[in-house]
Amino acid sequence: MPSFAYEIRNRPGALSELMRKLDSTVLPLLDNPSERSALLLVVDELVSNLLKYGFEPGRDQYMSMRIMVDGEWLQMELRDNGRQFNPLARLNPDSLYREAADRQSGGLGVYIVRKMMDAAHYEWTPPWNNLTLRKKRRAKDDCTH
Amino acid sequence: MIARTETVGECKVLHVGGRIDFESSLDFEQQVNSMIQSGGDRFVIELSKVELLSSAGLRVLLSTAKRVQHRHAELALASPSQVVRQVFRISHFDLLFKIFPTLREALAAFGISAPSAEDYGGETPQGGGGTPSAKPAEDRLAEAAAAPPRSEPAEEREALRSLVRATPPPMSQPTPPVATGSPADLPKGASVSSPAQAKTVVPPPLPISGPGAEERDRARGVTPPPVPAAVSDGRPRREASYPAVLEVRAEGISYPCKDGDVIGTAGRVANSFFASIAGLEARHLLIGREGDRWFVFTPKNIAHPFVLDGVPLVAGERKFLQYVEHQVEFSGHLFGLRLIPDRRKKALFGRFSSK
Repeated sequence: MPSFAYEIRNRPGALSELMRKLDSTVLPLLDNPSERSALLLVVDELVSNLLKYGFEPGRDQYMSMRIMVDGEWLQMELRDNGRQFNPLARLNPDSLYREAADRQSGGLGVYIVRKMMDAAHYEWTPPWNNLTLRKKRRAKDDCTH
Repeated sequence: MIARTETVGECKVLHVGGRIDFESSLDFEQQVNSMIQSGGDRFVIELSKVELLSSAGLRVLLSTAKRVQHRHAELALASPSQVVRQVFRISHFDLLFKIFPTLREALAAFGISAPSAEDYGGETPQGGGGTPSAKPAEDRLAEAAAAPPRSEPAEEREALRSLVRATPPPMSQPTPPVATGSPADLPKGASVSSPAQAKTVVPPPLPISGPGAEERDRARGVTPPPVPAAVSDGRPRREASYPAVLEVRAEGISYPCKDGDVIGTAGRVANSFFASIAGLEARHLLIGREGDRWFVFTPKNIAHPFVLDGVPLVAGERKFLQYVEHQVEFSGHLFGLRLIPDRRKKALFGRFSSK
């Protein structure tokens, strides 16, 4: 099973640097556009969330990410020593059916991540947030999630 | 992310491609802002080349929708890519925006004909001149939203009838032409009176509700549509008693509903019934709850909404359910919505109070 490991440090530009690495490593293995976008979306949402709210300025904190791909599953394991945060415990945004004027966008990213993936597990082992996400792989022409 | 703005007729079009993620969303926001600040009141964001749309991009679209609404301008989204459609579906953003399968259709909704095939996915633009329609913009959007795929003439006819039902002409004026099409596309009851009018579809006369409507209809020889028995039998309808549980009743079977349920070919509720109805969208009607009150919501992209108790639902609007029984119709298929008093809380309270 191909496996890729990445490290994201608490510093500016960390996310774009990670995206470039994904482009040259794991993404070429995914021929379904839906899988590629799901992976990028999950990484963008979770890592940007961590950089904005999970890390504290001036502290040496980091996230390690491991992505594994086989014929059946795309699996991501994320581990960080930022603030304790269980994204799976977040409630759904309560304004999903409201008109634009009444809509709030908070919590939307984590909600999308949960909807994009087929299985998820979170565990807090101080000082680590451990999150495992799995997505069932589908044929190239099947773009449903 | 790459972006470029162009002006087509009186409309500003922003073509966006690549990834709209956390890092590039600021750039996306600037591009959208410049388009809006450049003036005008009709805007289209074309999304066919977008490979990634994260929540940061959704926030930009949401704030843009609010700004545009505040300015009484109009915004449409055109040709969303597969990944954009998926994110819209998950986030329910498809309920907030007018979304068109192609840029040509989005422009047509603003009354603008496509000037060339270059930006329209190889489609040959129809019509020409780029002259904006004299009709109000809301009417043009409604017409475009009601326009079904060209490959389904039966649906087209039904959508046309639905559109006409929703916007009946004043009684004192002759019925204006509402659409063009070949004679094969004519709805039932339509007439072609001369070669010059060969492309003008005149819809059948339609009943208009309100005082004296039945007399007017009789005078015009119009048969009004069937009204649900619960409404027409003269008995007062029973008001629902809240809190209540909501059921969909179809073909003699009751299906309990919960907040967030979807009625449509992709919905969980009574799927065996709804999946077989031709012309029904995947998410044709949403069921929601605000406090104790149940409501139904028709997404804005629905061209042919359900008819609730004889009145077509309005796309983009909530309709709170007021009575114990409601009858819903779509293309001759009937089902019911039933509000049953929720006794569970009372029973629980009763147990405590009796001790």
